[in-house]
Amino acid sequence: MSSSTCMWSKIIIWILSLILVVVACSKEKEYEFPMIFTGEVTGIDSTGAVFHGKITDLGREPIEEFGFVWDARQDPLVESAERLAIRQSPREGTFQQQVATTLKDGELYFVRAYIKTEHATSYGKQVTFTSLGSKAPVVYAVDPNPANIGDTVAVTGMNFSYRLSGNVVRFNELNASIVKGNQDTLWVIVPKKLDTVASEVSVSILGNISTAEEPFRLITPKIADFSPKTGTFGSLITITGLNFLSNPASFHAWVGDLEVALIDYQDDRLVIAIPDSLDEREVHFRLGMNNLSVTSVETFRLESFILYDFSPKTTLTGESIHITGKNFSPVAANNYVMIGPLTGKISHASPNELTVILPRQDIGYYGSRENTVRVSILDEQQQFTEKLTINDPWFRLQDSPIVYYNHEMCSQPTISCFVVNEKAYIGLNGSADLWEFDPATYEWRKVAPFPGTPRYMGTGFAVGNRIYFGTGRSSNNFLYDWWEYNVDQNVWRQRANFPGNPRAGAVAFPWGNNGYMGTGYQSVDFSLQDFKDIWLYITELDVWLKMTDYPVDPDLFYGMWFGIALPSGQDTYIGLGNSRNFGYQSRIFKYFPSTNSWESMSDYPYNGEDNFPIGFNLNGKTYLKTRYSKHFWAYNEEVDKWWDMLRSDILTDVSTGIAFSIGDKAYVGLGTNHAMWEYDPSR
Amino acid sequence: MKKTYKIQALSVLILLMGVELHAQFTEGRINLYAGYSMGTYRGDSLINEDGFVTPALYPNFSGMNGWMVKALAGGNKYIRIGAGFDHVKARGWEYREEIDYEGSEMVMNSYSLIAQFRTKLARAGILNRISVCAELAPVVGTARLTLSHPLVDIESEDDSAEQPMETSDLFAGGRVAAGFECLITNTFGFYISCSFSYQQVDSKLYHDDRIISPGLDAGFIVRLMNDKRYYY
Repeated sequence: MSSSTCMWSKIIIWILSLILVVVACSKEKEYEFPMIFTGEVTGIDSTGAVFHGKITDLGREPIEEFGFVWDARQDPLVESAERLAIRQSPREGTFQQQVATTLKDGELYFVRAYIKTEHATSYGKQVTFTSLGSKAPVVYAVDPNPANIGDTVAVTGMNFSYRLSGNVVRFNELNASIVKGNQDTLWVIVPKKLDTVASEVSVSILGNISTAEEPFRLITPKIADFSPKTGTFGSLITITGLNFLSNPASFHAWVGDLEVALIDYQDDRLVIAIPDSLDEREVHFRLGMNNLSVTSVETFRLESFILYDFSPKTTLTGESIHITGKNFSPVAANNYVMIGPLTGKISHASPNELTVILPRQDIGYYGSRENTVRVSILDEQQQFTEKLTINDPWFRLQDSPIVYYNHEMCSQPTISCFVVNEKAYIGLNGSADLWEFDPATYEWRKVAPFPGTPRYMGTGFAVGNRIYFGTGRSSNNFLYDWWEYNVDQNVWRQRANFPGNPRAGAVAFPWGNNGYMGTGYQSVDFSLQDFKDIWLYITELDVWLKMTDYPVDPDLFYGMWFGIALPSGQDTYIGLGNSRNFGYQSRIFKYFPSTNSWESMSDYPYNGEDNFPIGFNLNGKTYLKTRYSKHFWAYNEEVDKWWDMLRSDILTDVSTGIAFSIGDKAYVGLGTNHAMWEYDPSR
Repeated sequence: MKKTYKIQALSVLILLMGVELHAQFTEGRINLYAGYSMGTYRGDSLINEDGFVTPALYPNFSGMNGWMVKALAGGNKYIRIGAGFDHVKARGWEYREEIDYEGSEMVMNSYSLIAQFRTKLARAGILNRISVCAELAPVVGTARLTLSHPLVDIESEDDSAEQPMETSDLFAGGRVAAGFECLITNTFGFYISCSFSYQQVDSKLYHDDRIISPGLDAGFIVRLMNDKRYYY
């Protein structure tokens, strides 16, 4: 071997050695996880910015995702920061992406490129930039469309914020909850309050709004038909249509305005029942779903009701009658039963029977004992031809038309009442009005006005066809004038003045063709004087004769006013009332006109309060009632006691009112109101 | 790392073995050089790679220095060939406010095959001891970058991921140099040369794809001779 060859052999050895060394030293490091770097942000303008990154090693794990994260806070993380994932397969080298949303004008942002594997996420260094703003995201569509309220739908588009709170998704003006999302898709819940068929779906990021081209539509039910078209309460109706099962949670059905339960329920067919509470005779069916509703074109009609009978035919107020028929409303409140002018209370209702409680007479008057029974259901009205008879002994009549000119005076007996020719003449209570009441017809008629001074607490009596009336109190004066009213002629004329002191609150009673008047009180200069004198008025002669005084203790000068005088056979009961020295009295006496004498009798049973007695004679008995006693007491001659009680079912306040009898009936009323009652002991 | 040093040591041993076995194998002459190297890195401070802009590594080092050895042998009076090894370090990375490679250290080990062109020594006079020479050398080597802080933040589920803190990358290129050698004695002298290196590099931790470095080398020469009593 030559020396030259040897030298070059050595050189080759050197070179090989060098290569060995270099290769040994330069063995590249292998990284377990990807290596990524962040470049400077470029292209910053009002439409966004361009982020740059570079992958230098993909690591040993499969890459799940890579891209950029950014935030206004340092060290943005995939989990919490804004994110943009690159939709490409990762490869070693540079990558970039225009970020067009989520950047707020003037905000300093921290950006990192990231790459994510199953077990780790690598971030490049953090770079900063100040944003000049960004654009709205792009909204492509909503899927599925149409859908239901409460459904989760996908809003597809571009450049959504990975940070869900950074997106505002609206259906019209209603915000939708975002379930999850990424830059391309947001899964949102259709707002439960959405109530329009077509809605504009928008996504807003930092106030930049973009709207989907195609509106979102809610699924609505459709009614094709229903049957039958008529029926009654409880009838089953089959409705056919579409989309009944799309959103069962929000599905509702109405008959008219009443929501009803679904008896059978399929997507194209459902069955409902006509509700008992239906209060319209002709209604549309309405189906609601997704806050939207559709109404049937045709209407359903309730069949008319039919009346069969009612029983009993005679009854008392407060008692019940039973009405039989067909197609009554099972809901009591939807049936109306009128007994005359009053509405009965339905205590029980079924399609075939109504039980009605007759109204008590305190809430109104029937006006007549014979009443028509009318039934009204859902704007239809029918009535029985046969009448219902009210059989209460105490029956409230139509209210009197008498006007009370001074209500405060009604707390005292101010009104006068006279019976002439089976009619009552009532009035003269502070006015000139005198009314004629005919109990045969229950009619009221105003007669000739009183020509004297209008007064309260006047006194008088009726003899034959004439009424004698006088004394009393005008606004400031006590009076003693005396008048005669001829009922047949309807004429007033003045007669001889009462010869005693002017007075008010006296008692008077007829006797034969004449009458008596006495007691009462007068007030002069605030000094009250009560009287006990009794005078006979002879009608034919128009003269007054003084009779025996009211039998009080002669040693005690006192009289009586606001008492009562009730003729009873051969005598007259006079008493009660008030006295100046001893207050309200329970004393009552018999006066015998034939002998001009008095006889004591047992006191009236009352509690001593102001009594303002009223009373009447009926069927040979004298009944008396004081202001605060509910019932009447009749005097029993045999035992000399107010022994027999007449129950009163009067339900209005008749204190300071009037009482009289005509024929075999008594009448009580007025006082503090206009109610009039008839007492018929035969019932 | 230990493995690398062992292989490097083995290489030097092989070279020395060659010298030992054939002291005059280059037809009676071999020159050994050992010296100090210093220089800088040139290039753009910012890298723009398809829009990906980031600070460069090498150009932002404040400088580099190290040592080098090389051995040149025979050929003829105008050309020598040989091999060299350079070991340089770079520190002082700085670029504006960026901290990417701040505090990092770069260690480069270069291996080169050297072709030296030189002037012939004169029989007398100053040129009897000084010759001007130029070198052309393909270079391969490794560049080991050690970071002071992670460049990539790896967050793993169990926090067990190791943050990459260093890389050792292969580079290859060439170097040209020009200078002069001065013999003080028949077997000893010194040299001074300027060099310019250009290498291609590819790394996972930085983005420079080339290393451009002008430098200045200076050192001593040991001449191993066979029956030679003259300088030339």
